[in-house]
Formats: sequence, C-alpha cells, structure tokens
Amino acid sequence: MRLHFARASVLPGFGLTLGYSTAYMGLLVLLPLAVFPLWASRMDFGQFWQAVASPRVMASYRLTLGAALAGALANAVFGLVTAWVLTRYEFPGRRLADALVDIPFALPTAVSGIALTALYSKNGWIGRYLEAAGIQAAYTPLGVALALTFIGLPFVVRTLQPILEDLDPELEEAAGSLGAGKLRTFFRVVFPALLPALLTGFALAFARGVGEYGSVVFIAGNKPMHTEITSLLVLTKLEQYDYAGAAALALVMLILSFILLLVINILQWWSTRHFGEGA
Amino acid sequence: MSIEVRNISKAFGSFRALDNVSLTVPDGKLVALLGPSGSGKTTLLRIIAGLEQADSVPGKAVLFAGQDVSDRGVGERRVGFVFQHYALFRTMTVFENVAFGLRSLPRRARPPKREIAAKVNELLALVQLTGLENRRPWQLSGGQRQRVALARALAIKPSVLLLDEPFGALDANVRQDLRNWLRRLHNEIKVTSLFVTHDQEEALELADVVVIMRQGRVEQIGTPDEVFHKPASEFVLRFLGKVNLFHGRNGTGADPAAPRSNGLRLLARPHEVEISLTATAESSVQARVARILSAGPSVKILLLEADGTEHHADISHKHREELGLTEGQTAYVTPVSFHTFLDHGAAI
Repeated sequence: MRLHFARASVLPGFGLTLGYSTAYMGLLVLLPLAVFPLWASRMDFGQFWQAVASPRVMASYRLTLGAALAGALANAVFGLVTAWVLTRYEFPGRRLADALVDIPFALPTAVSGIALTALYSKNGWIGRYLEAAGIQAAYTPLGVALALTFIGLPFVVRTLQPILEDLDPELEEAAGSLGAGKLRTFFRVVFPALLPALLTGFALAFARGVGEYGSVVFIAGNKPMHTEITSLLVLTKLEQYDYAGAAALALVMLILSFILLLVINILQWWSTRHFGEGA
Repeated sequence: MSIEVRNISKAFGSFRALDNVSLTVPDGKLVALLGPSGSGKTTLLRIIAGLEQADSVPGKAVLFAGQDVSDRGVGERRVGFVFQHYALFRTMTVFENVAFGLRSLPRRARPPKREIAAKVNELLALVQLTGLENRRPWQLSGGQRQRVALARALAIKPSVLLLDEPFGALDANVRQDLRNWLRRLHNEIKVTSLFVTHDQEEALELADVVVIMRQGRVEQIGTPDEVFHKPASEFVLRFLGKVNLFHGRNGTGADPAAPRSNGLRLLARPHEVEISLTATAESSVQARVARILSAGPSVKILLLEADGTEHHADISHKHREELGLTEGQTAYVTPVSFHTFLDHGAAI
C-alpha cells in the first residue's frame, strides 16, 4: 500500500524534502536528546534523585528559574518600551539603535559575560556606584538576573516589533474620538492587542535565560548554594567524569525546556483563537 | 449641529492637501465630500474631527453650531468618526466595542452598567445586529463590521457624524444595500453627517448636499440636482459622469477641412446626444459605431471619430431598433443639450 500525504503541488520533490527533513531533525535534534535518558538510566532511582534533587542542585534550580523569570519580566517591560520607541518614533540613529538590539544575540556569550562582570564588579563603571549605594551586583543572584536580562532583550523586542508595526494607528484615533484618554487607550486598546506577542517574547526570553551559560558564569561567581546555575552544575559533573549525573541533570533541564516550549505554543494557539488572524 | 470651516489649509511637506477651504454644513443634513483621490477630502474630514491640525493661518476656524472648537482635542469634540477600515477593537466583542465610548466617560458622567447595556442593545437593534453581541470583529462580514463601527460612533451621542469612505471596502451588492439603509437611518436620527467618497453615484444618490473637491479646493457646493445639471466647471461635469466633447465649430463636422475650434467647448452627457444616420445639425459629428452594449435598461454606444475622439451615447432599445444600428457602421452624433465652457474649462 502506498501512503499519500502529498497534496498536489506545483513544486515537485515532496517525498525527497520530507525524507530529508526527517533525517535532519532526527540526526541533529532527536538523537542527541535520546542520549540523556539512556545515560541517566544507568543509575537507580536513589542515585538519580540524589543527582537531581540534592540541596545544592535545588538551590541552582531556584537561582536559574528565579533569575530567568526576573530577567524576562524586566525585558517584558523595557523590551515593550524599546520596541515602542523603535517602531513609533523617527529619530536620528534609530536604525543604529534598532541594530544594537541584536547585539546580545550576536555577541559570543563569554564576551558579554566578561563585559558585564567588568561593568558591575566593585571597581566597574556601574558597580562602583551600586557599591556606594550598598548594592552588590557582581557575584550575587542580582548579577545573574542582570546577565539574563541582557541576553533576553532581543527576544521581546523582536517579537513585538512586527505586531507594533501592524497595529493600525486608526485604533488609537478611534479610541480617542470615543473620548478615551491616553492611559485608557493604551491599557484597553493597544496593550491587549500586544499581549499575545508580549507573552511569547516573555516566554522566549525566559527559556533562553534558563539555558544560558556563557554570559552568566563570569558575573555569577559560582558560589555553591548561592550563585551556581544549573548549566554550570552539569558542566561540573562532566568535569568530574560523572556522566550519568550530568545526564540526569540535563534530562531535568530538557523536560523544563520542553514544558516551556509547550507553554509558548499554547500561548500562541490561545492568542490566535482569542484575537483571530488577519483583519 | 451645523459645521462650519473657515480658511482651512493643510500642507504635508511640499504637498498642499487643502488650500484655503471654507464650507458650511447645515444642521441635520447628510453631506458628501466628493472628489478624486488626493483632492483633500479625507484630510478635511480629519481636521473637522480634530484628528489632524490645520496649518495656522489667520482666520482659520472649525465651528460646531457657531462655537469654535479649534482648540478642543478629538475626544472633547464629541464627533462620531467611522474609519474607512472601521478600526474596530479586535480584542473586544461587538458589545464591548459599542460600549467603549460610554465606558470611557469620566466616572461622574458614566451611566450605570445596566443603562450602558440597555443603550448598547438599543444601538445594536438600530443597526440590525441584535444577537451578535458576543462575536468578535473578525467573525463578522464587511457590512456587519461597518454597522458595528457606526453603532460604536453613535453610542457617544455625537454632535456630528463623520464617515471616511464608509462603503469603500465593501462589495457592490452590500454597498447598495448599506447605502439605502444609511439614508433611512439618517432620516431617523437626523444627526448632521459628513461622508467622504470618490464615487459620484454614491454621493448623488445619498447626499442632501454634495461638496466637490479638487486639488485641495472646493470646486462646487450644491444639491445633487444642482451639481449634476448646473456644473460650475468642466471638471465637475466630467467628474460626475462620461461626457462627449464637441468643439464649437465654424462648419459642419462632415467637412474635415473646416477649422475645428472657435474656442468654445460644448460638452454633452451620453443621454444628451442623438444618433442618426444622416447629419441633422451643424454640430453633428461623423463617427464609426465601435461598440454596442445593449445588456441594460438603455443601449450604450461607443462611437469613434476619424481622429480617434470617443463619443458615448445612451439611447433607448426602441430607438436603436429603428435605426438598425450595428457595429462598424457610420453614424452621426448630435448634441441636443449641452454645457458650454471656454477652452480653459471655466463655465460661461
């Protein structure tokens, strides 16, 4: 029996491309992922639990998730402002500012980590003033949150920009002609229209933050129980040749990322259902 | 409430969208702003609404019922504005859209919830959308969206209603229905209304008064009858329908050697010309029948002069049969009544 998935199409090669993409996805994504459960299965449950739920690991989850959440929240607010300014106003240097948004994306993470550490350490340009105000940024959870805010910014800005560009200025004019003030127009008309994209950007920034390594390890200082992120613990275990333990932690991270991606997809589904597509 | 604008000019960069426009819309009338695209009609509408500021020229003013509202923002002018693409709030239901204006009132003036609900339902009944309260804008047809936009604008009890190309985005059938419906609605609620259109048929059919605009100036203001039968310029005449041009001549058109023009332009609409098989008057023009369109209440005939000049004629089916007219045949076109303009387009 022949299987028929293909719809009649002007472009030939459906079978070829389907086969290619399946093989590609399998080789590049699924195969490496399959390794973790395999390695982790070498442990019994007690060992596994010890590896993924010891106090030191639990502290790293709290820091990783907490800092990623804080960073994503900060980005939701300031990313919205940035996207708004970049799409709504014409000012000299706008295109440059627009390009700068991608820097955290393009910069090698270790470079941004070192730069951030230099800025926020005791003698750094910003750190010395924070220090004077009694706030220590480098080598604290605050520093971790700062690094995750830095790398998460492009996600929020780039998800919001196209939506803001498409948002008809007539909507605001309509609200104005109906007597709504600026605040009411923003919160009742503009913000609800942006909300789905904002949620998506937030979730993406959060997911990136949970998995971030390079830009965090320098500014974090990596004190056990205090400023160790989960990715660092995976690496530490690898360096100690505890492959099973590393795989167990990786599995937990994998499940976390999967849940995050699921949430993103549900948000997108919900937003299209709720707000419809097209005009 | 009457609307008056005085000495309104507006430039966008080097483009003069409006050039010293003054205009009065009497209370309770339905008025069309008619003109080709780029004639400044939408800009004028937006300035009246307060969505756009006129250039500051001494003596410029926008008055509602004699009161200068130039300094009032769009929210304070209490205008009902219906946007070309409706600008419905897609995150809200139909009910919430219509209720938005009432809910935006300052707390002291805001009616209680039940009154708002009653008012919204009354408006939805008025625009014949009862039962669709909980739909979202994208679940509605174009005509329904248009009526939601209208109900939303009417909810704030506007002193004037301004509509930007209200039927522009609809297909022909819905357009005709909605046009008749809007006319009936206006007779019912009698709020001074101004609508922008580039469709002359729509303007003539719907409006009490037609304002014809061209390149940022008002070309003519009058009732549909006046602008149709007594066009102030050749532009108005041409904009309101097809016209045939006959130069004032010194000889018959049958003699190609005669000088063509004596400086006068005679213009006749398709229903104002006669077709015959022989020249019947000095002004008769010889032309070849290029196309006959007989699917309609009258027969539309396209004739071409030897130099390519087009003539359009509307004749009855009966007359066409009597003439036994066929495509390719040679005939004569004679204006029976016409409008006369000097060569530069001014009326005489």
